[in-house]
Amino acid sequence: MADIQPPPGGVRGVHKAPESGDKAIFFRRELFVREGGTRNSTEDRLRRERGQKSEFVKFDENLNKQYRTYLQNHAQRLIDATRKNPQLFQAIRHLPDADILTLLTSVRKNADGKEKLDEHNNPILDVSQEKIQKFLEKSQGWEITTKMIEHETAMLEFSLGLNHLVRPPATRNPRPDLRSGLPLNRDRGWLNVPVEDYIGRFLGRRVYDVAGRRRLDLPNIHIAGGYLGIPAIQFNAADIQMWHARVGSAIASVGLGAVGLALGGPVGAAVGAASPMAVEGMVRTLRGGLRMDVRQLTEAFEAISHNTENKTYLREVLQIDLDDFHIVGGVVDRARPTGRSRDIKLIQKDILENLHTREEFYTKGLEVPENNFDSSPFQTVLNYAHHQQVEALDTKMQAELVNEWKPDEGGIRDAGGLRPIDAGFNPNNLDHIGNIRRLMTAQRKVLMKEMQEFLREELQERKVIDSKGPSLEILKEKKEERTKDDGRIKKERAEGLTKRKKTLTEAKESLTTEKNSLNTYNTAVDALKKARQDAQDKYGANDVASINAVITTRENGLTDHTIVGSYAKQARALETARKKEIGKIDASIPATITGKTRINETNIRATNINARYAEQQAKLKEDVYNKVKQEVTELKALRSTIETSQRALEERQTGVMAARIQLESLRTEFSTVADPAAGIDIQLANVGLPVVNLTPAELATQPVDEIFRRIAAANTAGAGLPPPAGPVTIGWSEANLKRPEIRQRVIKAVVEARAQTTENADPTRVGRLPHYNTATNPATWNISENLLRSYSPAELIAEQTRRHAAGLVPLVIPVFTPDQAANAILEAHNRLQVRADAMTKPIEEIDEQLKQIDHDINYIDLKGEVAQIDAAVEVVKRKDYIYEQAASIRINRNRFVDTAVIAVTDVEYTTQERAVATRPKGYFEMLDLMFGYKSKAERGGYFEEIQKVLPPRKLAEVLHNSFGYPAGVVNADENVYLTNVFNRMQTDMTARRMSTVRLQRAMRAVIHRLEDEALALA
Amino acid sequence: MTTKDIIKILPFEQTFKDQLLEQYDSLDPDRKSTIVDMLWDAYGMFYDVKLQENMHLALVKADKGEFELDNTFYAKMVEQTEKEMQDLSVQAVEGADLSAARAAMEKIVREIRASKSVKSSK
Repeated sequence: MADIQPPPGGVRGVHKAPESGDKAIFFRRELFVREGGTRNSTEDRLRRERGQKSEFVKFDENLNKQYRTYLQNHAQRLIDATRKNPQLFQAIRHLPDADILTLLTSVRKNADGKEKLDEHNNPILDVSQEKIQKFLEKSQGWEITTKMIEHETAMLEFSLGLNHLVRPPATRNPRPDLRSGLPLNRDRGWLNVPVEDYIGRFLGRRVYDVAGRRRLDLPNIHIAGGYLGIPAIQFNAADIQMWHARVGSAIASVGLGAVGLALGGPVGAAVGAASPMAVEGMVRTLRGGLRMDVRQLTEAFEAISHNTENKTYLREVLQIDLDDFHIVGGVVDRARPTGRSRDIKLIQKDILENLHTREEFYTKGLEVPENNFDSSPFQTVLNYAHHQQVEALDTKMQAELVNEWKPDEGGIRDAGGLRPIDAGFNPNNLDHIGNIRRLMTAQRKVLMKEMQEFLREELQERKVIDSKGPSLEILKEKKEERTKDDGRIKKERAEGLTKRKKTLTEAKESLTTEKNSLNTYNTAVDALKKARQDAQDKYGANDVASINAVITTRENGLTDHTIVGSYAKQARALETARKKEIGKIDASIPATITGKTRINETNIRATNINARYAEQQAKLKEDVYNKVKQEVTELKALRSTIETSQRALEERQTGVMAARIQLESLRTEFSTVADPAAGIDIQLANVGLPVVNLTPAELATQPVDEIFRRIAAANTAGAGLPPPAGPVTIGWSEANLKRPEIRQRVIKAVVEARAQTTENADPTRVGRLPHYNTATNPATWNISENLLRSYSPAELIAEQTRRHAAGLVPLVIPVFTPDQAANAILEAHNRLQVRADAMTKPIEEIDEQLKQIDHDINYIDLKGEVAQIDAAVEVVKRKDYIYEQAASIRINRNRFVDTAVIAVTDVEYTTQERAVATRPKGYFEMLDLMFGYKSKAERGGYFEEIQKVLPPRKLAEVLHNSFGYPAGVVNADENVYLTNVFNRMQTDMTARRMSTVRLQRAMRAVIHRLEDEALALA
Repeated sequence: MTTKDIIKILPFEQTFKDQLLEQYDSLDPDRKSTIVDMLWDAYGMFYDVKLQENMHLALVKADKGEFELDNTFYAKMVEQTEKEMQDLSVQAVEGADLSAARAAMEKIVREIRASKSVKSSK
């Protein structure tokens, strides 16, 4: 630190050291109550004698990275939580998360410069590294982050009903002679060898480097059971005492409960039950490092679990559902076998990382002696009564916490409500729940105060903190641009839209390529399906064998008169009838006719009979013979199509192989990206990075470019992971994602996700799937998906019968019934169909978007945008008044949420207002509150403009989201939608559940929506 | 409740309050817009903490059977918190007004002195 020079240009704020952009250097007095208060006087004196400056503290590159990583993870969690529940931080305001979201994120923009909106029509946020860095350029940024880490750690631990102690209570004994605590050598030399030999193998190699670990370098600890039999090690007395304290009677008697045990599992009966952290802590103890112990603390769980906000926060942000746990027999246990909380190991990892980061902040950053601080930020609340002192950090934030908490004057109480300063105070029977709650409340207040300090500094420096920048100034410029309109805006916007069009076209081409790769195969499958269907519909046959049978029957009918109803039989019957009639001619001629005349008459009658029968024969032939011939020809054609298609679907065919590879690659790429066990999210989680939500559901529903963005974000996070755990390669970089072959792989994953989503939503599939699985299972029939598509049910059964006969499949596996065979085949076809559709539908969607872009390029309404900007400027300028009127909404609720409509004859309203008389009256009142339009000289004309900017649907949406009303209030009719929202507001206000603050926040949401939309105009 | 009332209510240091109140009306529109949001946000947070505290206290009382929990619980808490905020407002505003008046007086006195000093030097 000797070479650090005072920052140029003043004494305030944070100034980067010239030699490294990642080192943050602060004046000591910004962070500490007393300068040098954390150093021993000898060291300070020596430094002064050496001419070294001690008024600075610096946070090195590693710590800087840890803090950046924490903030990045935290901000991402907040983004994810608000994506799921946009109103979350309007409901939970006890932590500065809403400010953190504003300060550390930026709004994602579309190619055309407009804000990208999510499914709730809220801007999509991205974590901004630049803003994080800026945040950490102030000492308050570090303080706030530290407090956030501490608070979060407590929430995590308490949610599992646990408490970690890093050193025994005796460490911070108030007696001056013991202030230095137990000896804490960093390394105990020879002892390392037996420790590593006997214990290290249970923990893996990382135990060798316990002291040097960094944030995010804390892989899960797995102890493979067994016993820690280490009698050979000769401990000194203190070590043995610690040994028992860590894994012996102390832990066994306290009991970790099921949850505590779930953190690692029992180490062995000989030493009692201890979590891996306890064992690790022991190792660190033996090596002279910090000590870690884990204890059950059901009071902590009680303190946190009865608070609705805490519960919501834990569930939405930290992904711990407190309903998954409960207290049974004095320990926290699982309330249900599977819950909604994330893996306890991941929680454990977060706790460890937070503790480690905190440790480094105090020891390496602030150089607080190890003896002075607790590694667990809430250890104070448990130890205070015994030691009557808090951590001797001497930092400003610590002083603020103590000042807020006032442990002696009520922050700490015993079960009888007495304070430590009261006579009769019983330190052995404490009100743990109340103490924890009071400390947490104090912690939150200090956090808020820190945030206020941060904001105040910004104000003093006359900087606009809001992420949007000077919006009125920007809006003024936007209006001027549109008013003069030299064609630049239209040109730029057209360029943006054209760029977007290009991106969409590329996505379409990728999808088309995927689709085309299945074309040959699909053609054969479709032809086969159609031929089978036609044959089935017309002849009751759907495969070669059954068609052949029909052909034979039909052809035989032409010649075999023994076949009932056949052509041959009918022709023969006609001939017989003819002969019979001919035979009767002579008898029918009167006997009086004789000689030549009789012969002539006979001939005439015979000729007539023959002619009639010849006609009948001809008709019969025409009706039956020719038809049969035609049918046989058609049957043969269908048979031929089936045979040809089946040949085309034989496994060795090129098209089949290509299709199989293609279909397999869809699944492979899907696994690469979104498999819960191997996809990008789990890869991130495994190295302690926040997930980017590449779940199958997200893949199926998000736009393709959003998926690309998330993959790139995962890659960036992995690349930024510090050693030794990082850097790691996860997904693909943004540059690689621009390569066609990589894009193609992602597209495949998306297609497969969409296909699976469709399949899972199909209620009939459950009836087909078991038979399909049995047919394709290598352990049973091992018939490929492709072969199934080529079979008819009878052919499948025949193939199964053949395999039985050939001894290829055990006879215990039964041949399908025709229905089962049909199900298996149908499922095989369905699997192909949904994938083909998954490729086609996005193409159609893109076509729609392209059409819209073409429309947008040709229609740019600058006049309307000017009106929109004017309206936004108006509400921003009236903001002060609007907020102040929030209370009057409740007082005058019958007016502001009036759901009656205005009469078309009501002259109180202008013509323009009466033109939209179907809207609830409250709508007009809200608009007047926002814009003051009723007092405008051009009231009617102005109303026309602002009602376009804030139509009923938009107002309803913002109020709906702001108040967190259920989805049921939404209606396709915007007036009904707004009426529903007004009704809910009326109910809440009447029931006195609607605070002024909620109303003000809703008004703020409306203003921000209009302001953001205007600012988003390109 | 006005924005200036909020400045007076919030637990800022008095000098900061005075500075804000003094600058408030002359702030440029953009800055004012940002600060108005920040102040109302802070007020909202302050309210939330108060509401939270009241709910905790009520739950503790309920544990002891001193408070009856029913479906009007939240409404009661809102009402109580708003009343407390209102009371706080009255106290703070009175205090702040006195303080602002004091600061204004000091400013006037300084100006008068400065003016006299200029005159005497002529």
